[in-house]
Amino acid sequence: MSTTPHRHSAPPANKGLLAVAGVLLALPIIALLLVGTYAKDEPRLGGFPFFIWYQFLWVAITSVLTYTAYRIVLKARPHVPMTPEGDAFLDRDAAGTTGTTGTGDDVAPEGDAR
Amino acid sequence: MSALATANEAGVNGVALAVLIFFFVVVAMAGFWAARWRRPTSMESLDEWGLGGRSFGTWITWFLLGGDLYTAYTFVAVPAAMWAFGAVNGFFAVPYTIILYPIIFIFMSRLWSVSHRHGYVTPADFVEGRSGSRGLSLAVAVTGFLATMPYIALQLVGIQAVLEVVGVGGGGNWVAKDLPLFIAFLVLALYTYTSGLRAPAIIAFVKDILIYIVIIVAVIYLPSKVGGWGHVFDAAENKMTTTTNAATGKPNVFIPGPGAYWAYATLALGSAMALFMYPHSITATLSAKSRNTIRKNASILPAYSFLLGLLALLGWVAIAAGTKPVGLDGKVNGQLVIPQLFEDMFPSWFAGVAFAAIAIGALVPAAIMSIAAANTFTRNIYKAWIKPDATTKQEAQVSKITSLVVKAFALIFVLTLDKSNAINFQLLGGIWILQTFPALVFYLYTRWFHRWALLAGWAVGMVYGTVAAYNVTNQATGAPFAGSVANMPVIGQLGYIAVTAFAFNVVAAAVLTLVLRAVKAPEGTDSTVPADYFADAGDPRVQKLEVGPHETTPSA
Repeated sequence: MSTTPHRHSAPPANKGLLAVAGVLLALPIIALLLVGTYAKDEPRLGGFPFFIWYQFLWVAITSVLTYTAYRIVLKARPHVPMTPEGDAFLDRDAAGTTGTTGTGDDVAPEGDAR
Repeated sequence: MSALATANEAGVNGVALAVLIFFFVVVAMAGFWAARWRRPTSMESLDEWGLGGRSFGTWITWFLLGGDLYTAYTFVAVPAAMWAFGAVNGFFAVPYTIILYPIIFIFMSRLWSVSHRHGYVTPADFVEGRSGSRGLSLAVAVTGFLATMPYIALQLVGIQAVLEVVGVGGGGNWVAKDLPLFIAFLVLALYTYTSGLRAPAIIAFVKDILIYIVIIVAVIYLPSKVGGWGHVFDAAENKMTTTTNAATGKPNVFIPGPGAYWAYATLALGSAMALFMYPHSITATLSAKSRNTIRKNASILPAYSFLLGLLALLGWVAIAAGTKPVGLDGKVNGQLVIPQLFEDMFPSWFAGVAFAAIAIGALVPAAIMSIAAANTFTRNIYKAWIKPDATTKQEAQVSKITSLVVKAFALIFVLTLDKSNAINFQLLGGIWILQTFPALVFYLYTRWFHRWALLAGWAVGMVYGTVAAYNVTNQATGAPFAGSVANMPVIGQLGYIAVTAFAFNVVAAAVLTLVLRAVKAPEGTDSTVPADYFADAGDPRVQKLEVGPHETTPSA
């Protein structure tokens, strides 16, 4: 697919940042599957057994972690325009210098964020 | 209010019923009006009717997915399980709906991108395009269709539970008993027919707002009426440690002991992996307008998980409150515990609001599920096998009619057969749908697995899962399908059958892939390219001839 230096089959990505996002996403899965670490009554919090409030706590933690992962992924692999044939992505240099037609409307990565 | 101890003594609760009918009428009008919302030039394509024009932003998607995934049946069944059997049967829904979001964060964007590029409407569309195997695509489509059907039927059970507590639907003759449910579903069927996915998208706003209000009021107000949360948990502990589950012959569970760790973890993991294999989850995802909408939603959808956890605890509040969920037939029915708790403890008008929240909560997923099942039938059975040259207009027409048929079937299913059939079938559906995970998710990343091996793995998982579920016998009645956990081979602990079947599925697919490669079995044609998996809104579509009817030029 990517035959010339400026054509890529996937938008260029920062692999290190993607790995960080992967770790953030893995944390809640691992924590909650280790049932033995939280299947206990004490300490209670406001009458709630540890088993209950600990899992509620992970609802909030997971929300923060996935949002952080979302921001990281946007930064790690920003969207770049496709070729008009739609078989490859151009990097920012190529997109800028060739003045692409048709695909020029590089939607902001947060196109749906109002 | 507590004087009206049980519904069958109190008769029809007029105020609650009036409030319920009021909200139902509002929602029905919104459903018909939805056809004009974000109005396309033409509704006659699956992109418009079945996916809302693939145009929904973050907040609409949030309401739509929340309304879609957290169904009325969930709202009735999870607290019912907490009330009757305790944490393993009920509270696993919380870790399930937490780890769900990191999982879908990872792969759903790729599915969105490739579907956007190729105009895929269903998961089976993607599998066919990627594998070049019509057989594998058909297997995925049929599994999705079969798993969705009982889920739609169970939404009716949610409405029935509400109607029964209000005091409607207990009459001896057919008209008094089933007519309210019949009317509710007829109206639902009509506005789904005219408005497509736009109808549940609009109604989801009403449903979710009502549900949030009701649950927040309930968790603040109710515990104070029964002596505080500490007392609630003590009462639950007391009940759970002194009773046994008649079906399994095992003690009920307040907090899982070491013997239940695997069951709790595998129920959460298996359910989380399975949920986005259902066609209705995919439908709501593909209706989003950009690649990252679903990822952003993964960080705000846990709000519903928090709500579900609180709702689950209401099952234990009902224990402390001494709620007696007795049906109009005079028998104890755990499914009635939440509606009954609301009727006992709330003023009539607020009980009506709560009942409306549950009943409308059934309409949204029932609409989306019937659209998803109809799209699956149209694309992967009708177009793939019966009429390959169907136009987009014909596709939309077939899908609209199928959505009616699907709902009629669900209604007949619930009205004529015992409810336990729908529940057993839904339990099986959860096991079956997970067996499509390798074909759908592995294919998003790799074509290493051979298409025939994936098909064989699917068959292995389906057969093993069905047999294992059948063999779970009710200790009290001897009936099969008494639960979804069974002994896991090798590990030797109780675990979710779907996960065990999935493991066999993957192993079989991997081994057969090696064999098929060794004998050089023919590979299918991949109609996707790597760039497809990263495309976003605004990138050129592949099928330039099949542009939406509202567009005069290809979207590039």
